[in-house]
Amino acid sequence: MMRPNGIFVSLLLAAVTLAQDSVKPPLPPRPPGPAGPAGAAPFQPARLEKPADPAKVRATYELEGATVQITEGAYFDALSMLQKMEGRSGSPVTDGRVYEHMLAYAEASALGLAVTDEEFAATDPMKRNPALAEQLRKRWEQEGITEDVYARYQKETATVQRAKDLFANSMRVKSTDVFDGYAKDHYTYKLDYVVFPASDHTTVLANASDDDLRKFWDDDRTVQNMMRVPMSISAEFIWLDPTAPGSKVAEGTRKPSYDETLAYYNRNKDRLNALIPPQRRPELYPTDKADPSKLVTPFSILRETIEKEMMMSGAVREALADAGAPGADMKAVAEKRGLQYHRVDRVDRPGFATAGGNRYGVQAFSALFNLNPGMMLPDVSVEGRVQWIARLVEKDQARLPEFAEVKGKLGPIYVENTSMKMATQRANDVRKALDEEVARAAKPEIDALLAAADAEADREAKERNITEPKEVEVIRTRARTLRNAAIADIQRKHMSKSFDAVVAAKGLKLETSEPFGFEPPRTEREVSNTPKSRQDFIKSAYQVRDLREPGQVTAPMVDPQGKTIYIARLVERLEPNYADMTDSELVYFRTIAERTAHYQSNYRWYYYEISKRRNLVIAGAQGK
Amino acid sequence: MRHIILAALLLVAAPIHAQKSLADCWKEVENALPRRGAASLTSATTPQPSAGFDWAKINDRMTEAMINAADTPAEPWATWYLAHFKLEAGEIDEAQNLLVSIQQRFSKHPLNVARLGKNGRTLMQDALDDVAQELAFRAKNPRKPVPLPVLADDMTATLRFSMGDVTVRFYPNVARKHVERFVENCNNGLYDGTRITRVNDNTITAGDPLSKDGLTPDPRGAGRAPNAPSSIAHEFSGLTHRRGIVSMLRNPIGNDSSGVTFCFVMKDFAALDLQQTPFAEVVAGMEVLDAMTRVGRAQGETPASPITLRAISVTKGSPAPTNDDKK
Repeated sequence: MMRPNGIFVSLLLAAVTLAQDSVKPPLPPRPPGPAGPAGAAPFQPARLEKPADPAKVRATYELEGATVQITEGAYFDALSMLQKMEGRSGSPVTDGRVYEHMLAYAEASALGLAVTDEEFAATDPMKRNPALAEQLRKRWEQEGITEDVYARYQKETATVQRAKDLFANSMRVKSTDVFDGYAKDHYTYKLDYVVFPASDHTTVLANASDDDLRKFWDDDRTVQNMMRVPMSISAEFIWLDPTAPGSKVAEGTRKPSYDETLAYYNRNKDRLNALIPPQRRPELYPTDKADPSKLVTPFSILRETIEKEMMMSGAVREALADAGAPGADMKAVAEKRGLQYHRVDRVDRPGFATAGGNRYGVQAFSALFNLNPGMMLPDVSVEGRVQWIARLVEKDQARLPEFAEVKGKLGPIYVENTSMKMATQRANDVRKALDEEVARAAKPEIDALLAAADAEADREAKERNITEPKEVEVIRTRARTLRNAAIADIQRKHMSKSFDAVVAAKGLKLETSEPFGFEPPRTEREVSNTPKSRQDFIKSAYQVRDLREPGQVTAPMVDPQGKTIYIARLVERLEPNYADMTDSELVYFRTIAERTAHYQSNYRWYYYEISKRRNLVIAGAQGK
Repeated sequence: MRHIILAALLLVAAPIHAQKSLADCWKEVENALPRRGAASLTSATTPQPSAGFDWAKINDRMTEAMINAADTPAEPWATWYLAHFKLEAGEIDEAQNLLVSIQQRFSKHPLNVARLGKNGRTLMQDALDDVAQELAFRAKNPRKPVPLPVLADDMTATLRFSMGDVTVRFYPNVARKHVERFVENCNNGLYDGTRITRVNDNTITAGDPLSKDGLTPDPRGAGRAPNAPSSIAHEFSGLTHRRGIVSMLRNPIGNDSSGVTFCFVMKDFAALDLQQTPFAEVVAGMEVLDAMTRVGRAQGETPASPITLRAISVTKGSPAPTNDDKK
């Protein structure tokens, strides 16, 4: 049900666009709800219910420093317009879409982009194309759309589109944005660093006593897991592959009929289709010019294989029955039935695969391990083109070996692990000593800063007449927190000097790198596990990228391949030259920045962003 | 200097525009815009790199629109757009002058008073700040603008597929190394006898030396045959992956370009920008490629009936073929 259109549209336009006419005291703000800043569920389909009180305020938003109201009547009219023009049975108009449209139109109008009646009249396709107009009118009659609704919708959406185009075409990607993206990957670093190689400790550790090794074995769960004896099995198999060279159908076996073969194919279609040879697959996709007499189907390609499989599978079933008899000899059964025999002895899971077990499929090992020695798998198993039966001969559960069993292998592992632990410990000790030295050297300045923070907090408490100790403490904590950045600056200032002091005190030697550019980790060399030189490691250690100010020191950096720990200090970090950027790089980083700007420009018009920007506050759940 | 000329043009053009309605002025402005706003937030609307726009032409169109819109509400907007497009073209001084002219001539305009910019500022304040920053940066860091991609007319390559011939021309001014590598590969016969390895609605992949008889194509399209040359650095430019473009596949192991395997772009597909390097464009034979997309496909999007690239002949100084069917 529509009201008289002219008056109504005028009222709505006045309510929505003329911000200065509708400035009223704001509603009390609602706390933001889970659905976003507006506090209502914006993506629920909106219900079209004529409001009892059209003048009642439904929501407010801010525009140009004033608070603008959306009345129930204005909302209803916007919703009914959008439902008629945009609503589809599969995607009804949501509350969010109504607000999104109203706010975007208000913003576009505030920018002076509103399409005038004169402009609309000049471009209205209804006026320019009478034939189209007639068709549209007929459709509108069915859908309850009036010309006024159509005109208003066209004008408002054209206005919003102007605003969208405005922002999309006012993207300003600055050279500084482009250069920032480039510089991040192209700083030149110079570092000095101390090295803690695990090799410093290997000579001493090489003479480990049995007690040392036993303690190492007892304590180190990782090594225990590494040397755990895995479960293993011994098993016998009888199998057949009808396509394997040399596989023969026993004489006198009946050949299945066409219908039997087809029925068998249909029952096992998925498995059998996988047997079509790759070189014959293209025949299944003929061109328009293919000879009809040479057309093939999966069944026609597989028919011979299927017939052979059907004739031979009877032998496997008979072998299963024979082998199930007490004391049956699997090898003899296989020979009797013209089938293949296979045995594996004391193999673990990887060993099983390499000993020919992969032909039985990935589940075969698990299936066998669940049997007791002497038992057979209850049925014929099929894996691809292979049919097989099996008997478990023996199995050994996984177990932790005794120390005596592994003692001989423990020595090198002990030296490698323990030397790395000792090097790490040394590096951690240096870093701890550095932190203590920094804390000592920076203490007077930090204490003075915190005292000033406390004094400021006390003054504030006094001014606000706060005497409760807990509340005073809250103000103090806040004042101190505000100094965190300044404290970090002081600590950084002392870091460099303290690093020199600690290195000297510990008798360590500082090495200095050549200036280098950070090497991204996605190079082929990085992917490989080959040990790198010290300089190479430093050049690609991601902690180095976190160093921004000269004098900053890293935490211990572990190079597991080179068995070395490093602590590095930034000597200098130089920006690259803008001129060094190639055209290709310039386009790359500029396009990345443009895409971000383009996305932001588009995102600006979506409900969440525009409702937040315009501080939309919905009064209640009316109409939901 | 040029803004003075523009201002003079505005004055001269004032009587002319009087015949144009506001609607026509807006239409002209909107037709001169290179981008449409907020179609969607999905990657399907990946924007074309600005380096691919011919800003000189766009600026000419917008200047004309601005002149025609003189003394109408569309004029400040046309001037605003022109300022931004001058900025894109690297004419920062002119961009600044145009913005200042809006500020002075239309002091009550929403661009100057509506606080819809960052942190409650006006759009004009934001724009002037950005332009001033850009001016300062460029004064300190001068460099030549990135060239517009130009299709060279001095070299043509004809790819003789089993389904027909496809002729391409190159963009050596923005992808010199890729063009050189492609021609070198052609002259070495690296592509002769290879097959089309992948066909889908967006691209047709060709030139993998591992697709020759008896070899297994690399599913990642790296073309790492034993005799294939090494990968090369990308050469990104304003060329976007539109229909008809020929683009070198990326090397899936590293961060560079395969330097061997290439693809034909069958549909505008800007998502490939910054992933692969476009280096050539089909100038004849798009209908042959279209026919390839209609061939049945086996697993992995390989054509069910093999399509062979029998040979490629590279000729210098040949006349430009036409390709009416291309769009």
